[in-house]
Amino acid sequence: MKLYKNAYLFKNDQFVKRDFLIDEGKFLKIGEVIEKNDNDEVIDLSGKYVYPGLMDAHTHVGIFQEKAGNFAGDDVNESTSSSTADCRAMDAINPFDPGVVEAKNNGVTTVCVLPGSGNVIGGEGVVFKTNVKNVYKERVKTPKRIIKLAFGWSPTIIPRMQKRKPLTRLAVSAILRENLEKAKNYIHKEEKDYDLSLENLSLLLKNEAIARIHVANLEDIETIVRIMKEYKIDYVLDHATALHTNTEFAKSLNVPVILGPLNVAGKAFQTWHLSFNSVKDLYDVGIDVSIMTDAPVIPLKLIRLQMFFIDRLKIKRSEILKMFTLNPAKVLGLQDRLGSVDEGKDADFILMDGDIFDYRSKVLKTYINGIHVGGEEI
Amino acid sequence: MKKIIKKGKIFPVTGESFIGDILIEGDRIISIDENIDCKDAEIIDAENLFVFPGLVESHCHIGVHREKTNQYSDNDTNEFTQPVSVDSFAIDAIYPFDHGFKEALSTGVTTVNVFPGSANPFGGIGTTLKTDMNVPFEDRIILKNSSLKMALGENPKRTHTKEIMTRMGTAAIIRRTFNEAINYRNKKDREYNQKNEILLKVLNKELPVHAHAHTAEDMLTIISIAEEFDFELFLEHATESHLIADVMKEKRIKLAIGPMFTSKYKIEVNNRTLKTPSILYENGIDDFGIITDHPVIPIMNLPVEASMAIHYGLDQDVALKAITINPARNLKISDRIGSIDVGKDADLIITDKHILDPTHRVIKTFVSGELAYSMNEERLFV
Amino acid sequence: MKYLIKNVEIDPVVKEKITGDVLIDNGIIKKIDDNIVEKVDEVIDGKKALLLPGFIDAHSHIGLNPEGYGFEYDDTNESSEPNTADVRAVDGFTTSDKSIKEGARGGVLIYCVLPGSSNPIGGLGFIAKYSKSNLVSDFILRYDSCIKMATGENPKRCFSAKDKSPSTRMGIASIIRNYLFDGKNYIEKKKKSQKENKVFTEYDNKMEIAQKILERKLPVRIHCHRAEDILFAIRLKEEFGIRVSIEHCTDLIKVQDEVKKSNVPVMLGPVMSSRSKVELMDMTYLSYKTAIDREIPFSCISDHPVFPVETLRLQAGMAINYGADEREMLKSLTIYPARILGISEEYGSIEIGKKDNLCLWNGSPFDSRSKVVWNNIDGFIN
Repeated sequence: MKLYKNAYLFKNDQFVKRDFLIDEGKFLKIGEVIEKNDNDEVIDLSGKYVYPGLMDAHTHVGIFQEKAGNFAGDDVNESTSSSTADCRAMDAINPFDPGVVEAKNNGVTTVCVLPGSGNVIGGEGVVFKTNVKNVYKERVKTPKRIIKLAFGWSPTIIPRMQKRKPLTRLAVSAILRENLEKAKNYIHKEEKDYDLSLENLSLLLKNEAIARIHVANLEDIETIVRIMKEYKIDYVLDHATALHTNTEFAKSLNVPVILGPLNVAGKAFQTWHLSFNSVKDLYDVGIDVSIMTDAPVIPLKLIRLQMFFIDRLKIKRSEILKMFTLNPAKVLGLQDRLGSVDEGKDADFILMDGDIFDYRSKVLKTYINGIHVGGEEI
Repeated sequence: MKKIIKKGKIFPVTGESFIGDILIEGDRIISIDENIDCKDAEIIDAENLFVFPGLVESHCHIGVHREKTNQYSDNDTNEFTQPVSVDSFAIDAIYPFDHGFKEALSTGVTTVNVFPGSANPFGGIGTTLKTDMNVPFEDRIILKNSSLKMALGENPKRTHTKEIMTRMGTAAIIRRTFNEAINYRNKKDREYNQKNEILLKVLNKELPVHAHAHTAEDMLTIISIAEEFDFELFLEHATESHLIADVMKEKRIKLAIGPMFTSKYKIEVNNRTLKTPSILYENGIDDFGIITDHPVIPIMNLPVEASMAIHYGLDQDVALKAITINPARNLKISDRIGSIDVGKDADLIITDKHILDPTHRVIKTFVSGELAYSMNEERLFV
Repeated sequence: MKYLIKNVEIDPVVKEKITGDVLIDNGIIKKIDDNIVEKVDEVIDGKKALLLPGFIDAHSHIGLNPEGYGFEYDDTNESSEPNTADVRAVDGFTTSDKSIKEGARGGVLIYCVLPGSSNPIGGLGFIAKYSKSNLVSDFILRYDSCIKMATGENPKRCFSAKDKSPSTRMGIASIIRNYLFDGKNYIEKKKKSQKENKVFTEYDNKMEIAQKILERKLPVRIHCHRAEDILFAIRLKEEFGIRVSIEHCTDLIKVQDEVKKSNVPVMLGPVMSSRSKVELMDMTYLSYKTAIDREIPFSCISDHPVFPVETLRLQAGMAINYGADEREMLKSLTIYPARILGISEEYGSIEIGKKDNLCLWNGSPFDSRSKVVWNNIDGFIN
C-alpha cells in the first residue's frame, strides 16, 4: 500500500492537509493523520496540492487525431448517411494521439469520446482513461451505453453539400422519429434479422442507453426534448448554447447539461448566444453543469483555460471544479467510481505545485488507478 | 473634458508600476503622477484596482470575418479568386459594428490590426483601427494601410490548387510578382497600375510586409526573398520560430506569435507549443508580439495566451510587452499606442487583478479618453 | 388577470360596430357593453380607437427562414425527396425571426405555418399565436393542424432539376394518389394485426399521417395556381373523401363554378407580388371579389416571406380597390380563416366567450397610415 502524507486537498473551498492511503488503485482511506503500517510505502507531499483527475465528458480525441493533417487523422463523422447508429467511436480511437497523451500529462484522467455531429444519429460513444492502450479491453464501462445524436443545423451541413436528406431541421426530427419507430417495430417483431443499428437504437427505447444530444438553439432544444419525452428516452444536452436564454424552461427540464466549448469565436447565427455567462445563468437555477473542451476544438491540454474564464463569474471555486470532475462523472453514471478524491473511488488524481486556479501552477504528476502515468514535467 | 483615474496601481509597461493618478484631456494622457489635483476633472476611482494600457492585437480578422451571422455568405476574409490580391484592402470589408469589436473592448483590447486572410500568397492590405464602436468609422482608423499581408505554406497551396502545387510554386509566384513590379518601375511610358504601385511602396520600404508563415522552411524562404528584394519583413504566427531562434536573433526579424491555443490540426502546426515565447526569450529575443488571429481563437484569449507563456517559462514583463508595446511597435504606432505615457492616446483599462492573471475581470475600458466598456453596465462576457 | 378596455369603438366583425368597453378575465372575453364598471387589475384607455380581433394569416412560412440570414438557414423546403409527409414545420420554427414582431405591428397575431411547396407532399403545418417568449411552445396553438401538398410548377421544377420524379403534373398526381392508396393498405394491415391480436410491427410515421388524412382528421392544404391543378385538388377530395383547401387558387375566376360546387375553401394570395412564373400569368385582385360574389369560403393570405406579413392588411386593401366588399375583406383576415383553420370557437371575432386576441387601431387597417397602437400581448406599442 502507498501512503501519501501531508497533501493539500481542496474541500469546501478551503485547503486542508490530509493523508491518504491507496490500495489496488483505489483510495482506501483519507484522513487528517494516517499511521504508517509496516508494509506501507510513504510518500511525503508537503506543500503539494492534490486534486481529482480532470474529466471531459465530450471530446473527439483519438478519433480526430492531432499531428495527422486535416484529413488522415479525421474519423469523426461517418457522413455517408444521416443514421449511423451502428458506428462506434471505439473502433477509430488511436490511443497514441498526441491529444490523448497531452491530456494525460496535463491532468485529464478520463474522457468520453463521441462521434461527431454531422449525422442525426452519430453512433456509440466510449469512455476511457487517458493511459489506455487497448481501448476495447481497458475502456471504462458505463452503466448505460452512450448514443450520440445531433440536432439543429449541424446535421444538415454535410447533407446540403451532398444534396441529400436532411436539408432542413424539419427532416432532422423526421429522420430521428423514423428511426426510433423502426427500432420500436424491431423490438416487437417476433421473427427478426439481427440489425446492429436497430439494436443500438432499441437500447435507447429500453433505457439501457442514454442519448447525448448535440444541440445549440433554444428552439431545437425544445424539439428534441419533445421527442425524448414522447419516446421516454434518457438524455443529456451537449453544448446547449442558447439554453440560458430561458432559464425557467431550462430549470423545468431537469437534465444535466454539458456546456462548451465556450472559448471559441466565429459565432454564427446558430451560436449567437455562445457565452461564458451561460455557466452562471444555468448554475444559478440549480442545473448540473459540466464543461467540455470538445477536444480538439480546444485541446485537452488546455482544459484549465475555461476554468480560468469561469472563475471570473465568481462562482464558488469548488463548484467550478466539479464542472470538470464530479459533474461529468455523473453524466456518465460513474460518480461512484470517479470524479472526486474520496474513499472507495479510483485513485485518479493530480499532483500540483499550487492552486489549480493559479495559471502558474503546474500539474507535476498525473496518477491513474494510483499509478504515476504522466505530468507536465516529464 | 478632463478625467482623472485615481489611486490605481498603474502599469505603464515602459516603466515600473506604482500607485498614482492619470490625468486625461480629450483623447490624450496629459499627466501621470502620484497625486494629481484637478478641479474640473471627472474622477474615476481605481483604488485597489489595476490600470494597464489598452491591449494591442496586431493580427486578427474582426469585421471582415463577421460574427453572429451567416458564416458562408457573410465572410469576406479571403479573396479566394486570385493568388495575387495585392490590391484587396481590408478596410473595404470591415463591418464597423462587428461583435468581435465588442468582445475586444470587454477584453481590454483597444487597438486591432485587421488583415485579409492567408489563402493567397499576396492577401492584401491590412488596416489598424480602434475598437470603440461609438466613434465614426473614419475616426477610429489609425493606419488605413498598415502593411501588405502575404502567406506561405499550406493555406495558399490548399486554396489555389491550379496555380500552386508546392511551396516552390508559392515562392515562384511571389518572386514573379515582385519582378513584375520592378519591370513596371523601369518602364518609361507606363499606365497606372494599382497593384504595382503598392508593390513599389513595399520595395521602397514605405509599406512593410507581414507574412503568414508557420514552418521553418516558410520563414526562411520569405526571409531570403525579403533580402533579395530588400523589403521590410515581419513574420506572423512563426509557429516553428523557436526551432530557428538563432536565425531570428541574427536577422532581427520581428515576430507575432500565435494563436497558440489551437490543436495541431494541420501538418504545418505540428510543432506548435506554448513554449515558443519562452524559448525565444532564452535566446535573447524579447520584442515579439502575441496574437489571437481572432476568430481562430477568440480575442478574449489575448492576455491569457501571454499568461500561459509565463506558465511555460516566459518572463512576466516580457509577456506584458508582448500584448501592448511590442505589437504597437510592429505596427509602427508605438508613438501613440501601447504604454501609459504622457502624450500618448488615453487607451486605458481598469482591472481587478493583474491582467496576466487569467481570472481577472476588466472593469472599464477607455478608448481615446472615452469610456467604451463598463462591466457593470454590460455583461462580463459580452 | 382581469383587465378592462374602456372607451373603444368595437368591431366584433360578425356584428355591427358598437362603442363601449370590453372586459377580459383570464384570457376570455367576459363582457361587452356600453359602460362596464368592475374592479380589475388593469384598465386600458382606448381613447375611442378601433378594437379589432388580431388578424389570422392562414398560410405563412414565417420563422422557417429567419430573415436576413440567407439560404443556409432556410428550413422552408425539405426538397430531398417528393414525399416528406412526416416533417413538421414546427421543428424549423425560429422565434427570433424579425418578421414575427413586424407581423404584430401589422395586426397579425395568428399564423398557420406550413412547409414550402417544393414537394408534392410537403409535411405538417401548425398554428402559431404571437408571443413575446423565445420558446416555440409558447407560440403553438395547434400542433399538427394540417398537411401541406403542392402541385404545378414548384415540385416540377425542384425534382426535374434532379432528374427525379415528378417532372410533370401527372407525376405529381401519381405520387399523391399512391401515397393515399398506400395509406388505405396500411389501415387494412393495421386492422388485420389488431384482429389477430398482435403487436403491430410495421408502424410508419408517413403512413400514420396518411391514415389521419383518410380518416378526415387532418385537412390537406394543396398549393394550386393553375386551373388544372385546382381541378385536380377537387377530384382528389372527391376520390378519397378527404378534407381539402386550395392554397393560392390563382385561376379561381376560370373555375369558379367547379370550386363553388365542391365547397372547398380557397386561400387567396399573395397577389401583392410579381408574376414570377408562368402559372401566375392570370393573377388578379379580382379573385377576392369573385369569391365574395360566389360565396366561396376564402381567406386572404401573405405566404410570408413571399410577401411580408406586416403588409397583409394592405393586400386586403388592394382587393377593396378592385371592388371587393370592405366588410368581407375584414372577415377574410379574421373570422373566415378562423373557420377554415377550425379555431373559430376561440378566435376570429370579438364575442363573449372567445379568447383575447385583440388589436387597437388608430384608423382603418386598410389605410397604410393606420397603426396598431396596442395589442393584448405587447400592450401599448410606440
